[in-house]
Amino acid sequence: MSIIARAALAWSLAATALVVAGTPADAAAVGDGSLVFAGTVEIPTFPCPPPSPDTYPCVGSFTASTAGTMRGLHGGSPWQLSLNAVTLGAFSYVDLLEPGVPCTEGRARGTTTLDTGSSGQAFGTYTTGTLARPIRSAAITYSFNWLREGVTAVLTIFDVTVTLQVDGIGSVTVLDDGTAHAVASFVPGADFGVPTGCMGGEPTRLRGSIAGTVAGVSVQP
Amino acid sequence: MRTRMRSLGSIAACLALFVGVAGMPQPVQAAGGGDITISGTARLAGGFPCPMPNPGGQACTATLEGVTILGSLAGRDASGNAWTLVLNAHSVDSQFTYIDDVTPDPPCVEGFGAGYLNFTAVPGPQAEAFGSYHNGAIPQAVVGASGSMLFNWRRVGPVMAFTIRDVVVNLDVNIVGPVQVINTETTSQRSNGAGTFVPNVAADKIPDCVNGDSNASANWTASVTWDFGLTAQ
Repeated sequence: MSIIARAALAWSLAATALVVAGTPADAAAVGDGSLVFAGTVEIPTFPCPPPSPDTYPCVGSFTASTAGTMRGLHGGSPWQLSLNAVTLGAFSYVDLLEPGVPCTEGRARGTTTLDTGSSGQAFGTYTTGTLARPIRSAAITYSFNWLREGVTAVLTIFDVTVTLQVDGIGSVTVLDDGTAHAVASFVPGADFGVPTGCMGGEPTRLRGSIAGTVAGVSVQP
Repeated sequence: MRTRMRSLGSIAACLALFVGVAGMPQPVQAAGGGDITISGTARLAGGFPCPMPNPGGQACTATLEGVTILGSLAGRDASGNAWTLVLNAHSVDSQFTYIDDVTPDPPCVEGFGAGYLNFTAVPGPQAEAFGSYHNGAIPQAVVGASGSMLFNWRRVGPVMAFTIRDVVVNLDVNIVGPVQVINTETTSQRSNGAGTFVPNVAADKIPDCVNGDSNASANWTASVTWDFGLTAQ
C-alpha cells in the first residue's frame, strides 16, 4: 500500500471516528516522510556532568544541511513536499561520568527549526479539489530526546510541526504534534583534542560533525 | 679556649636542634571511614518521571524528609588521634537533582542526578552521636557530630548506585571541642554507595510510564534507603 493510500485509509478511519466523536474536521491530519541531515555540532563543555541543585544542564547547538520528502493529507487536501534547507538546533545535554565509565553515555533534549523561506528551497503541491497549488516554502519544527552510547545517538522526535506557504492560500499547518525517530552519529573534529574531562581533568570544548536520518515522520489522528 | 668553647656551644645547639626536630611529632595523614545508612522520603518536586529539561531549563529537584541516619565510623585524624563515632541522627539536609529517561528508552526505568547531603547529630539526651576521641591518656567522649558530602547517582529500576566525594566529618568532643576527622575535599577521593528508590504510588497516583508525563502536580514522593561506605585515606 502506498503512503498516500495509507494516509487516505487513515484519514477515512479518522473521518469515521470523527462522526462518532464529533470532533472538528480539521483536527485530524496524517502524513509521513523522512529527512537526511549532516552538519556541525558545538558542545561548549565536554563532559558535562548531571547538574547539581540550582544549576543548569549544559547547552549545545548544531547546524545541519537537511534534505527530504514528506507527504500527507490535511483536511481532505493531499500535499507533497521536497525540500533542502539548513536546520538549526539547540539542546541541553548531560554526560554520565560516575558511577560507571565516564563519558560513554549521554542524554540530551532539544528543539530544531528549519525554514526554506530563510535558507533553502521547497518544491511540492497542496491540492484543493482538482487544483494542485505550488508550495512556496516550508517550515518544520520538532523537539527531540537523544540517548548517546559512544558516538551514536538514538533520537525520539516529537512535536513535529510542518507549515507550508501555499500559492493562493497562504500559511497552512499540515502536520501538528507529529512523531518520528532518528539515528545520528557524532564524529569529533580536529580541534577536539584529548577529552581530559573523561579522566578526571578539566572539561574541554567539543566541535565535530553530525549526520543522521529522521525517518518515520508521522501524525496519526 | 674561648673559641673552642664557642665551637662546642654551636655544636651543642645544633645537636639540640636536631634532637628537637627529630623528637617533634610528624604530620599524620588522616584516615578513616565506615558505613552510614540513610532512610527516609524523597519529595519529588518536579513530578515523576522527570525528563531532561529543554535548553535553558533546570533539572527536577528532590529533598529528603523524615530521615534517619545510622552509622558507625572510625579512624585517625591528621594529628594521629584515634576516634570512633556511632550515629543515630535525624537532622539531614539533602537535595538532589533527578532526570529520568523517558525516550528513546522506556520511561521510568532509568534515572540519574547529583546532590548533596549535610547531617548534624546534636548533643543531648537523645544520644544522636557518641564515641571517643583519643588525644591523651584519657579518651574524651564524642557528644555531637556533623558532616557533609556530595554525590552522583544512577538508577536502574529501584536500584541506585552512588559515587560520593568531598566528604567532611566533624566531631564535637567533650572538653576538646570541634575536631575535623575526615576531609576528602582536597584529595578527590571517591567512595561508593548503593540504595533503593521506590516511588510511592496509590490508586489515584500511578506514574505515567507510557508517555513519560511528569504530572508534577501529583505531589510525588519516593521511599529511599541509601548505604554509603565512606573511605578517607
